[in-house]
Amino acid sequence: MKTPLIICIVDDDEIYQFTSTYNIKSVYAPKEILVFSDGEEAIHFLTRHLSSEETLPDVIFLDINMPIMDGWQFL
Amino acid sequence: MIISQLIIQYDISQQDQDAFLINVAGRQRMLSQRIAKRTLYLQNEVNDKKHHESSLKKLQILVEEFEKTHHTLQFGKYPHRLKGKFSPAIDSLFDKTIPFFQVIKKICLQIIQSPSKGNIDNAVKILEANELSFLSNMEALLNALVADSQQKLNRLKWIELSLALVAFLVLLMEFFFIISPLIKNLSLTNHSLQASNSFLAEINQELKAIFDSTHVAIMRLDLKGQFVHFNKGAEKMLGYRAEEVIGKHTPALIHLQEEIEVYNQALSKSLNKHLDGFEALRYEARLPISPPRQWTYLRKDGSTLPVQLSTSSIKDEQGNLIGYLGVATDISELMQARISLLESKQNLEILANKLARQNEQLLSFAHITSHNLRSPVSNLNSLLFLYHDSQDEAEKQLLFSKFEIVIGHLTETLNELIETLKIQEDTEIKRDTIVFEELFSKIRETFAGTLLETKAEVSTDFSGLPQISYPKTYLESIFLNLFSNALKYRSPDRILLIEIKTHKAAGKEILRIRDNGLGIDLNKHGEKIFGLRKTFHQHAEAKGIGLFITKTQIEAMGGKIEIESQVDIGTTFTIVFNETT
Repeated sequence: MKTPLIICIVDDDEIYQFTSTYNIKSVYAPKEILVFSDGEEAIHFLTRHLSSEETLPDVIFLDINMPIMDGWQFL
Repeated sequence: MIISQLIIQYDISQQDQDAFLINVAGRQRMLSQRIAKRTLYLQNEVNDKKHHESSLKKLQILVEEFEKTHHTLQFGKYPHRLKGKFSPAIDSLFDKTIPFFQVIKKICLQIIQSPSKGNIDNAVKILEANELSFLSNMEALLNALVADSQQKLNRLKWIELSLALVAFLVLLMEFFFIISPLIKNLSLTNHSLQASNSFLAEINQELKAIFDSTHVAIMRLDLKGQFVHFNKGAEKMLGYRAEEVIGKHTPALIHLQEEIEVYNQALSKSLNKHLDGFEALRYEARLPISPPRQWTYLRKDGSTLPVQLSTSSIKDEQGNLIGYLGVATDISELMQARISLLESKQNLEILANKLARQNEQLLSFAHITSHNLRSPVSNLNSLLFLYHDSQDEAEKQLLFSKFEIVIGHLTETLNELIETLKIQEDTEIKRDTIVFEELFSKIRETFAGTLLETKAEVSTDFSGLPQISYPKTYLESIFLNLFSNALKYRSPDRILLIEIKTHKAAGKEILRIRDNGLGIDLNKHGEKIFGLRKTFHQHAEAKGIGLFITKTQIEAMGGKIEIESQVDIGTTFTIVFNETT
């Protein structure tokens, strides 16, 4: 595991995206924070970057209840 | 009795013999007198030779007879012998006569042998003395015999009397031991007869009371089917007076012809033989157990009432059928109660269905509130915390703009919830008759711009169900939502085709809307397709509210909505407007 971490947030609520990003940044300086609005977007990103390990997130905060592709389907 | 008869018979024969002997003894006395008389004749006829000889001859016959008789009395065979037959006193009396008899006989024989004058004179003298003694002795003997006989007669009388007494006693005993118990029995029987008579009278009274009961109609029919009895209850129930129907009418008067026919047909079928008129009722009455059956009775005034009728047959003691009995009870109250019970049951079922539906909706509503309201509220909290925490004015500005967004979402969600709540409360909303063709032309106008722009082809067929009774606002909303969905989620690769069709099948009113748009993967989203705030396309116009409201409206009116869809082929919505009503 590399430091600092790459953190990923998957949630359809833009306010939640905003507040959680804000919170994380206030306590920890990650290498990067990735934000997606639903499971499908996140999956697309992951499949696109499967080959380049250094761009993949280390921690994913996943919402369950989302439109299009929910948390269960993403898992 | 037989013994007493034998004793009497014996005594009577004894009496006969006694009488005979008395007679014989009497004759002997008479003979002695005649002998004495004849010897006197002989004495006087000494000179008259002719008479003398005949007298002598007569004397000889008399003496022979006298001797023979005496011999019989003294030595003769029983029962003609006197000696030894009676008491010793009589015997000794008889013995006393014997010497005189011997003398008389001897003298007479002397005369007969030598009838000289001297002999005769001598004989007359001796005879006079002896004959007198003989006579007196015979007299005494006879008296004794008569006395004896009298005594016997008395004895016989006494025997008879005692026998009569015995017979009387026997009769008395018979009376006590046979006749009096019989009489006693008879009186007992009589008594019990009286008791059972009064019991019968009592039962009769009870039966009469039952028969006169005004709540139950009791009707008796003869073998021809005509009324024989028609009680007060029947009079009251049916409005006829007993005199009007007895002997004049059959139950055809009070039954509905159609009901009887229906019943006849049913019974004919099960018995496999043709029954006509009141045959079926009679058949039933003859059954050992005939179930009570419901009929409709016709009153005199033409009104009807439901009754429960029990029929039975009446038989005499030999088991011959002599009539039929029908007992009818007015069950209109019962029927009314049953109907209202059924009604309230139906109402309850409807209520239960409604409650179940509302419950389901409340559950989803609770779910909506918990999810759709909780997240904006928690967002607000987070933002508030950050806002207080922030020192930077620019940052505070940014956070505040986020507040506006969240509050906007919250207001929107609340408005939507209020709208669905209105629908759910509004199940008794007024229904209008809506012509699909008219409704749809309005919708088409609403979307005229989009239709023109997309060159979509819309085909409609309302021939199977041209109109429907439904709340107008709901139906407009349903059409708008489904039609706009079809337009919204069209495929960019082909020209949109929309088919709208209504029809009726098995009493159900059905609307079908089919498109050739993007389609939805139901395996992924099937359960959530009608949920609130569910969107399945990354589409600018998708808010996830339309289908939720559509479903709520349809279900509030007792209908259901179903979806069939395949990705990139198209979607079909099927609505049954009257699924549960």
